[in-house]
Amino acid sequence: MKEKLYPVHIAILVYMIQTGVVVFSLPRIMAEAFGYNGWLMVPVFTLIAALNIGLIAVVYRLSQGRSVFEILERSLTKIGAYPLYLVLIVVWSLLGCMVAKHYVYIFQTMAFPTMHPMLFKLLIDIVAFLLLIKGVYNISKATMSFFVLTAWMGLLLLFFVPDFEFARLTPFLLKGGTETIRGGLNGYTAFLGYELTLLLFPYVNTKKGFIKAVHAGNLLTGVLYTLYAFVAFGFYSLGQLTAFRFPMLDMLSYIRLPFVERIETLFFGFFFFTVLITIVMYIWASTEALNRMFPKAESKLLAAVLLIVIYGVSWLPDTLSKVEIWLKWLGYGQVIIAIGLPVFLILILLILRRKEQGHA
Amino acid sequence: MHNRLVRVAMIVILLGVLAGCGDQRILEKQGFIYSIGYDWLAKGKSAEGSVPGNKVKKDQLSVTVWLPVVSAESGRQHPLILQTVASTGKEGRFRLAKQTELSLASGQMRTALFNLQLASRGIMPYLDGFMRDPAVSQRLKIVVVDGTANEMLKKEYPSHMNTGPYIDHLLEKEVMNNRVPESTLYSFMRDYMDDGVDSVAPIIKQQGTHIEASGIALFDGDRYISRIDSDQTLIFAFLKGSFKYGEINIDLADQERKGEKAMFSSLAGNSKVKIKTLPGERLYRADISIKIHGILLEYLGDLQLNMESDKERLEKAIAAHINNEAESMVKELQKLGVDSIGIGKHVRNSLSYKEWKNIDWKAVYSNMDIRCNTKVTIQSVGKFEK
Repeated sequence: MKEKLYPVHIAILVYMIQTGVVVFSLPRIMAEAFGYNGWLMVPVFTLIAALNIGLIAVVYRLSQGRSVFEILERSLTKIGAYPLYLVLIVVWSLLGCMVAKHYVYIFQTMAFPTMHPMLFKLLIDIVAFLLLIKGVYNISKATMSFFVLTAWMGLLLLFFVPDFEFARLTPFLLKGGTETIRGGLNGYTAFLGYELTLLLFPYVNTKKGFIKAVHAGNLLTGVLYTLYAFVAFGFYSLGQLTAFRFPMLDMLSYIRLPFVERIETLFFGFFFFTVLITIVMYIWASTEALNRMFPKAESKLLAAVLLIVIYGVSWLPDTLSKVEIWLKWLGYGQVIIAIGLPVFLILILLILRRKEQGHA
Repeated sequence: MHNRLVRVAMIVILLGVLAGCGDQRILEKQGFIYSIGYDWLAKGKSAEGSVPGNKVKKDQLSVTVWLPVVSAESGRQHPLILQTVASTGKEGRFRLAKQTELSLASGQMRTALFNLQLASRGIMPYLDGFMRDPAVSQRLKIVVVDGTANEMLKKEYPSHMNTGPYIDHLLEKEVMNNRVPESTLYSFMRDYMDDGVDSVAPIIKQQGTHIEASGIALFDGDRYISRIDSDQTLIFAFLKGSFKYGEINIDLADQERKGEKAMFSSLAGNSKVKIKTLPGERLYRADISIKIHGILLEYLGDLQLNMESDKERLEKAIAAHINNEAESMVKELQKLGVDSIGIGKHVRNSLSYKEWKNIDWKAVYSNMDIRCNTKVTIQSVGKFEK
């Protein structure tokens, strides 16, 4: 019997997909976009993500556990669904690959600046490939252990308590921000990842608890993001926060243990696990779509080909800021997919249902 | 499943190991800068590091680094001091690197010293470089030197083998005792970029065969403006917020208790700022209430400290003395136009965003009515009562 995912797997998986590289710049993005007390928007974003998950919940209920691809193909026909698949594959696989490259570039600002970034990228892709070919159940099992390896890092926030000052937060609410909408959209990309649960329908064990688990994962992300941002806003002055590229990294470098300091490189290494899951799941999602287009092909081969192709594409942006521009646009695309795809699916399902009722 | 995890783990290890081949850093070939010092060289003065006898033709910068080096033969550690003249900080680093067989690394840098002349011209160009460089710690101490950083780092101190750690540890202890405020790259930049507070840094001075903390440097933006002398620094700590540790010698002559002296130790307490809006030109009033408690370790005077009423009289006299000092310090700061205590943060927090953006804070600050209200509690008078 095929092994299935339990709610706890789903919750942790959602949290791990959501937590990616954007978290390092999140406090800065919030400060730039919303100004004083920008951290307050993080819970709002969590709520927006939760509403979006609500859409997915409707799809889940209407589809009765059928795969999203099945639904699409039933209404659009196989050929009709292909262009959509193609878009999904391009956005998802590139997103996964740019997240990897972004991580490599940030890592290189701290260590190994003269190494060729694509060598790092290659190694990450190999790890991703090994996880990928084992299927989503095993990915989620690995996710559980990676979660344990990284979850304790939330405690590091305690180091900032002595320098935290409420007076620095100011009573101004969301004042002094610039480019609020674009910046806000950028900040929202930190929450992306929950939409991949659309593809998990056939792999879920019980009908009950699936959507609750997705909400739980999103809530965990939201709570941790809020804490990070809140602490950053009371630890740094607003002007300072907007000047840092990766405020969370600077915060990590402030931590000093009695026996060692400057261990941010090590801590940043731990974040690799959460980033790896983000990468793997986006590429997993695109191989799922690819599999629908080439049902006869070996899925391992498809994954390998996909990884090789996007490895080639990832040579294109060759600086950190170029990668960030790619990520920004892919992020916008993904926001549209995250909202648009469930809405589209709901429409299809409603039409299908009406047709079926008409026939009956 | 087990095999797979092992394989993934192997790849992760491989990732680390392979990467190491590309960017090698061999410990013995690294020179870890411990202290870096910047001095201003005015035009026309002769400088070390330039050709002897040659006068500096334009305003320049002298950069000195102090680093510990372990000799390969004896295994002993000895200090290495390098110095050069340059027009920018980065150029200085570049020139210093040429003077040694070691590759200079800034990952272990603990103190950055700026001499007064340089600090009064602004230290942001140097801090900017530190902020950009991911190797430089956020805990790097920003220090102002009365004299020249070069001489301070070069000099040998008989009882301290290593000047770099000597300065670093001295500062840590002084900060702990609240004789100077903590000033790291993080905190300096934080206050520099905050619109409601100005940055401060400790001043150190070479005194014969030792170095001592000689006061607090007050900055307006990134420029050194003035200083608080070392006998007044604890008053500054009282004003700045919560504090722990520290001791103060009090001469009660100004409280009509001529010849009476008290030594007050193990001090702890806090200060709170309240802002009131006033009608008229002065706009705002700040009330700083300071609460201090501690142990009286020495008292020369007529009061009988075993009597509660006398103890209270002494408490009041000490409080009045500290209050006077605090108020005159605040007045001085207002006159200088530097808000080193951070009154601005509290004013900002009592206003709406629009009001805060519309006031000219510096002008309002200089004109503000700021009052102190000090309360002193003598917790104990030691283990001896007369």
